[in-house]
Amino acid sequence: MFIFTILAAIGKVTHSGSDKEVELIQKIKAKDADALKELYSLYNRLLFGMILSIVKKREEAEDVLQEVFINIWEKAHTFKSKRGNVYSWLVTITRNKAIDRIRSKGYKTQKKASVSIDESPFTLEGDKFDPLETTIYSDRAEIVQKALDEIPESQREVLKIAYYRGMTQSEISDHLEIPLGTVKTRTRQGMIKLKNILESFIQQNDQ
Amino acid sequence: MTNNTQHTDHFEELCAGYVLNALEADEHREFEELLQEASDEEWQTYYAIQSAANQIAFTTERAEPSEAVINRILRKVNTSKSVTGTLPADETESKSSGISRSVLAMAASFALLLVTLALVFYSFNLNSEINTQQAQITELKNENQRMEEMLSILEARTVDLVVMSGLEVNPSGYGKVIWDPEKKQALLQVSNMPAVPKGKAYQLWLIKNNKPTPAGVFAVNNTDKGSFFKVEQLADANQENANAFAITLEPEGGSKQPTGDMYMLGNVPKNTN
Repeated sequence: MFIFTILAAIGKVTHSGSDKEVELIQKIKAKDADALKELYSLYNRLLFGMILSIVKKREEAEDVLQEVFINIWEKAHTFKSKRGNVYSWLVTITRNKAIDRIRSKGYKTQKKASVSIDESPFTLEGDKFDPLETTIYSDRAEIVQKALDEIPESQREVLKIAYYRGMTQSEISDHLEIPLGTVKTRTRQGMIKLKNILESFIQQNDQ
Repeated sequence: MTNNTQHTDHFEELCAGYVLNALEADEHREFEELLQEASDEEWQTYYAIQSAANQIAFTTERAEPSEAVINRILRKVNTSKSVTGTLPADETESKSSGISRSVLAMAASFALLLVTLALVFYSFNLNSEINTQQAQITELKNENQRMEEMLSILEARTVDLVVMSGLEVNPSGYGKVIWDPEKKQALLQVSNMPAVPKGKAYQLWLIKNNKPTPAGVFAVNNTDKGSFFKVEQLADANQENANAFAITLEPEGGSKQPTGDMYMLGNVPKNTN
């Protein structure tokens, strides 16, 4: 039953939901503001959490979130359903916008907030949100977290800094005081492992 | 390690950095170029790694943005819709009437400019025409006055007439001097005289006792018709001592003594009284 719930959750977010989400994107392409509002209500918490983990400041994060949805409104025609689902598209746009923000000249002049990677925003709590949404996200979060836990610490550390803090590989090299080549190798090894674990996990549960 | 393995490792290394958006700009470009020529297998690897990276998003803590964000987004997209879409009726109307008003204003200004220019041009032409006619009137008045003065000589109780004939240099020429001995004025008429060359003038001479006395300088410009001149330097002319009248070609302004060719000569008839 648990596995079924997980699969349902995965399906809801990454597959079954696709058709409806693709339809929403089509409507947004036709300048339907209600469709944009609906897409926002589906994703705003997830995307806002991602942005917040990268830019740290709430006000700045809200500004980026607004920028992301304006971008979706203007660039909906660039979405290619064959190349990935809506979730992937949104997450990619959002991360890139957040990273653009922290790499911008103006942002760099601000004093960088020092946040330990141990303060990973990973969480399972969620009573304040919609129960179904909470279930889906928390189940999915658990799967991904388990996959990350299976990766050697040295590789996981590099992936987390890159993902949550938006650092480039050179910046990670400086930050961890390890050679750039090592950062690259660990990133590659870590990502390949994460991919394999997630794939095998889904296959296992598929059987 | 084979070249293929090396290539795969390099592709995966860049790919892992790329999906995390952790590459430096040059490597970012390099990977995008690699993707352009990537095999199907490499594309599958790319999609799979990207999908795995995107899953990490689930581990971030969700957070609730303020209500203001969606309101700002909707306000912005609605504004962009009304800017790119159809304008509201009022706005369209006011815009179109605004356009027509400005077009009308422009047309009116242009027309006014044209009319003003036409009037200025007409006025300029009229002025020029008036000036020309004024000059003609003045010229005619002067001519009329000259004619009247010349005719007034004929009004005298007695006048003397000397007929002059063309000489060798201009045989076809002829002329007359009609003078009033009392007022000591004369009227000179010449015909078939060649136009005077530049810097030259004809000069009339009163010859008395075989001595020429200057009696006036004149020019002939129009050779087709006869020319009349008033002569007022005949103080010494009288029937008793005047012998003849002659015309010579002299430098402009005249000479004290004849220097050029003689064009005409006419003897004063002896007084029969």
